[in-house]
Amino acid sequence: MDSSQYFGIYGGRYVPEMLQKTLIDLARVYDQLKATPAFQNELRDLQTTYNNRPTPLTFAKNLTEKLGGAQIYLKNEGMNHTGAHKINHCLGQALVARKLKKTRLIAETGAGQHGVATATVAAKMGFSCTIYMGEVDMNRQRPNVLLMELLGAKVIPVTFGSRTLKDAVSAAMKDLLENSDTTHYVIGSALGPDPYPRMNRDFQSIIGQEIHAQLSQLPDYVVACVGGGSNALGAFTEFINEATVQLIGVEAGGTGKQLGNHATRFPDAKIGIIEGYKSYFLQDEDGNTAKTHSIAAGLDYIGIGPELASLHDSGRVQFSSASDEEALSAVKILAESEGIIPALESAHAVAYAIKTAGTLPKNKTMVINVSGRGDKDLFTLAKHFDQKHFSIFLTEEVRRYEK
Amino acid sequence: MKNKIMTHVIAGYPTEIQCIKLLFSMQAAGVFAIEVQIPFSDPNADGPTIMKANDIALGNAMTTRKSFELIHRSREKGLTTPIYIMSYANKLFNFGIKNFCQESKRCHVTGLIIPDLPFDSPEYQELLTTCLDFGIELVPVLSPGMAPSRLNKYDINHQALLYLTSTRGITGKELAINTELLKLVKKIRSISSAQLALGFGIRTPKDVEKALKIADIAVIGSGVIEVIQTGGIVGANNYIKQLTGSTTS
Repeated sequence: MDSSQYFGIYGGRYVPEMLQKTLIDLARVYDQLKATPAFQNELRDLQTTYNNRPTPLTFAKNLTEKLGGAQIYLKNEGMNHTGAHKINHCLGQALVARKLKKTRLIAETGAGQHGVATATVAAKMGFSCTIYMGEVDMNRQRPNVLLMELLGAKVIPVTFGSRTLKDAVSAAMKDLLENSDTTHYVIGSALGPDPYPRMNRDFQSIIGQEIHAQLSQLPDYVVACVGGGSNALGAFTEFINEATVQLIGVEAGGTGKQLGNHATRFPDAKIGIIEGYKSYFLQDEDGNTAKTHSIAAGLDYIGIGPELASLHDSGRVQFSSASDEEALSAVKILAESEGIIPALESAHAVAYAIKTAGTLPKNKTMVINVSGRGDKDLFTLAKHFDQKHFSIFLTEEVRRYEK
Repeated sequence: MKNKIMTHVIAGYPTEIQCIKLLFSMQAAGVFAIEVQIPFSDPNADGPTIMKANDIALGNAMTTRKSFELIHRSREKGLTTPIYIMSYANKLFNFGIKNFCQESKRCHVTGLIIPDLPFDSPEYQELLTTCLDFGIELVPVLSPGMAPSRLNKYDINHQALLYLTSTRGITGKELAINTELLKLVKKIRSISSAQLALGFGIRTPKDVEKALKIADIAVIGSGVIEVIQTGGIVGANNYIKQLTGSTTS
């Protein structure tokens, strides 16, 4: 066992032998590159002149007063180009892919955010781009399909299985099996076979580094939502060795505790080996993947990145969950109190703060990683906050279209 | 002499009963061995045809335990053809490696084929040790383009059977024998006397002929399922007979 592939017992490179060489090459080139100043400089340049880093750390004065406890700060990752933290690892991976002389980027996408970020970076850096998206998701997220196509990407509907994110991952993996000579697969979270979990963590860890510098002291709590775990690890990594900083991951509680109605891996998930890595996965009794649900597409996923699985077991990261309803209400509360509309994913972290900050002393600081902005959730938000008028608007919009 | 063919079935596909009938018609056609796949929700090395068959089998409530029961019942009814079980790491891991080997032994399974379990994982090593204890082969799945240093880690000079994919890619494509593949075959032959089973893309008698020029056994996977979809298991029966060469039609 090569320990560099593992976080405790989690991680690894559980893919067919035909894909091993691609991953070994990727790991080798990444390990060489990451230490070089030229690579770090180019990445920093892209992060500041193309992306919008550093993103602000905002003191949430009104929310803090409203809750009457810990001082709440918002790390506003929604200010990134394309609206969420995802572009951090897309930029990094694209630089690695270029070094590997790859000419094509592929990615899976659920709601379309990671697809848009990948298509954006591909356009900027001169790669051709193919995005796999479940047919069901394409129908639900047509605006993002249009954006990806505008950016020059080919969006391929995945028509097998449940025709959602999990199947898009599978389709992208198959594309990589066949085209690994020319193609780099931009995995969209800190998961998948080695080296993806550690590579994406490294590219995202700029979030926590900025938090540390901007706060100019250690926070007492850092809170982030957890789907696969990229934004959470991004916010946490800087503070892992700082024992006084409590790290809280917030999972998607969905609509209830029954398997199929949520995406909380703790405590329901079993350890398994799926999609190329070993971690906790929501599964049925026989080891098949279970159905999941969350109002936030980015949290609606069976597995969790291997490093977070290990940090769960060691107790370094505490896990909590927020329901669909709590997330929706958190969107409204943050929007009204701070003028920031968070993505539904990020609203899960906000919901945790709303539930707990008031119980903490006023001299404590809590940083919420607001991993993305809520513009993308327009239709979901409209359905919950103003269904009647939006139905009329959409009906009339269709009429205007067909004229 | 008949062609050495290894056919592929998915336990519980198209139904449990028809799957058993299929096993016996494969035996009657004189196949060399049968690869029985235990269905999984995420069969990542398989193409659309086998994926769909996995879904159908799972829809028929086929579990790992029931897959073993299916094989066991077939053995009791007189199935003597060698069986290799193919599945994915999670099915094995979830069932328990020791249990899996124990059940395999009880069903007189010759070997296991687990494509997503590389040698440099602790589970592979545990499975290998357990297989040795039970006298079951752990068949490596090798592919063109793999590094020679990794090839040696599968201890291929001591294996009885090696599974070789004709290409880098998924099941169900067209057969292409390229120089990368020929190079790998040559390399393997120079260090191992194991029988080589070549799979991925073999459908027609002509494919079989091509495959058997470089390998010892031709594996028919998606091909059988495609025929079942159009001609049912009667169609599959005739198809396999053609491929083994036990009929000239």
